[in-house]
Amino acid sequence: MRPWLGPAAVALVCGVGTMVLGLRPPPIEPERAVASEDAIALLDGLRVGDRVKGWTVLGIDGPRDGTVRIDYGHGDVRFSITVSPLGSVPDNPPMHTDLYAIYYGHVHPDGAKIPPAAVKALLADTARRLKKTEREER
Amino acid sequence: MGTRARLSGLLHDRVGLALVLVVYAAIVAWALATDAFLHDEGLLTHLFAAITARDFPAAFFLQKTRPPISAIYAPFAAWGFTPFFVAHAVVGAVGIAMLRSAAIALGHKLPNVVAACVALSPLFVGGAVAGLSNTDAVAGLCAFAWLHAARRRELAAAGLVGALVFVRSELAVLAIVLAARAVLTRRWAVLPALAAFGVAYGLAGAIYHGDLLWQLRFPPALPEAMPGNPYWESHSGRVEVDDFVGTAVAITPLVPVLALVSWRWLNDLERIGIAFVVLFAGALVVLPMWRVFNFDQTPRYLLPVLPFVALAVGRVLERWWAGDVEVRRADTPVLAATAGLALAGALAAPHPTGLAAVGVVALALALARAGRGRVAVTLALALVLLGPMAFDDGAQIDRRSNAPHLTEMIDRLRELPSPPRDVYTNEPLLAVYLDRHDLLPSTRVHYLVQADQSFELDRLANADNGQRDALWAALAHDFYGEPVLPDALRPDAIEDGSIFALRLDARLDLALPPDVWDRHLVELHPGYGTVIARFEEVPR
Repeated sequence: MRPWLGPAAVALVCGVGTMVLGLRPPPIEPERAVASEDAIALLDGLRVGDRVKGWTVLGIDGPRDGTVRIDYGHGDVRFSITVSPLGSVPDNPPMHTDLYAIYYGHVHPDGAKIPPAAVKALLADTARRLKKTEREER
Repeated sequence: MGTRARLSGLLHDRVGLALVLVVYAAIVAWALATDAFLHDEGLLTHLFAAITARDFPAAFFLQKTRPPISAIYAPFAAWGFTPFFVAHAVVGAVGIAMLRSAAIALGHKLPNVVAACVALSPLFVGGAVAGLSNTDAVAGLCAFAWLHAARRRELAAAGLVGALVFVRSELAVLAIVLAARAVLTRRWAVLPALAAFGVAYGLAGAIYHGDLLWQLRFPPALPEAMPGNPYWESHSGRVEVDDFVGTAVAITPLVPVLALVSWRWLNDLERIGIAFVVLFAGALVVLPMWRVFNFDQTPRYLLPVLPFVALAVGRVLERWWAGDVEVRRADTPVLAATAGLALAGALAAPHPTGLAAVGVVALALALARAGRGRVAVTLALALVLLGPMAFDDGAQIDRRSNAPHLTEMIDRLRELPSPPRDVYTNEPLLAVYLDRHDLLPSTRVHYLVQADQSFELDRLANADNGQRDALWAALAHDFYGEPVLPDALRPDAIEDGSIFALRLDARLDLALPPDVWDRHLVELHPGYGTVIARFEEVPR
């Protein structure tokens, strides 16, 4: 047997293994705070680890004083969407439903650009979830 | 001289060493500019050196300060963080050059490969710029190899190892190996050389402490963990295979080459080195299970194996380069077993870096056996070059993995309507990062000294001769910011409206008992790894 065949076979197995394991979806950051059932119900079952429009839900926090915060991540960029009862925050929200104002911010790292289309799509997804919950509650 | 010969020359001439050091310096410069490797343990090295500059006897005769390196870095630490970080990286560079000289003296044909293995080790280059004492241990071991091989000063080399034990106590393993060898080969003079620094330091310290047994009364680390410390209660001390594999390739991605080394190819010093590597790695896997001297499974603790791994790797690669490939039956099964270990690690790790490293080494061996030894060495060098970029996962010394919440903490602080005057924090990197990046210049950062930190200093310093008070005085204005001792942290001592920037640490409740503090702290930004809160004098 040729002496290079053995190590070449090991290299082949390692190469295939590296490719297969390297193509796994990136691990979701471990859930560092448990999203409350109220927040999950308000957001129509949205959970940490879900992917929405290509973004991963890194965390859901709240409700705290009625506000729920959803952290989204894509690669190294993160930002948050917050949902507050309409009228509870003085600023005009970029989107709202009958009962809730939806804001975004907390962009990380500092100065990172979130594509406007992505922000719009995630705000719209949040609004859709809230409207569904509102309809069901009526 | 043809291009091929010139390229070959780079593997052993001084131009090649210069190139290695240029790449090392470029990584250091990038890391300094971005603080990519800002690390609390590196800041601790700076802190020890800074207090040594402020009060030499009190700090030098506290074994915890790693006295030999604190004395060396004291003038640089007194000058500031950047001079200290640069000096620390320069010591690493000197170590690289010394190991190359040792390799030449040992008859290595490709000494720059040995130098590159150390210089481009993801753990080493990151730790060197971070200020970690683990890279001082590596530089010290490079100097040991240089004294032993290039200068033929066996006693001086042993004396150096005796001093290095006071830098990183785990290097006692090498001192034991050298002592055992001295007894077996009847080199009796090595034994007093090993003990020389400890005895001289002990006698000088006895005058300061007024106690001949002061080194036992005030050891370099807590003999056992602080009782009730939740940090240790949450650590099992077991080694996980993915962590072990990640650490191994972060030391050098060429670590699988060790599986191909023959004992016969190594000379005396290299055999001592391999014996040390085996015993040291074994000790650092076992010691954390017993929680002896607060060891845990931190990857950087294993870094001192690097110089001897690099020398052994050099022995294999020089044979490939020369076309002198010995086909041994055991190589393929051993490599396959290594691949199995790497696969087990890859299944649990986010990236299969260990498996990739074994694959490249196996491919290089196949090429060498197929008569393409120079291509094999080139492939191995490519792996070394990729190290700092692709195999740093397991190092866990970069700022992102060491303090993942720091950027968010700073972002949230900067979003406050007006810059806070006083920020209280348990994050050791906050004050330094803000200062180095000119952020929130009007804010005073107060560091909440953790209960276990003050417990350790109180236990390891001598109260009877005034050392303990002298050390706290030396730390009064610079302990990751302005320190607030646990006893001084009371709600009536904090100004209304002060901001608390807290990382969620298992020890936080010891510093801020919830039954006292929760009523005073209004959360402004609840987060997962960090919380920003405003202090209200009147409880809610």
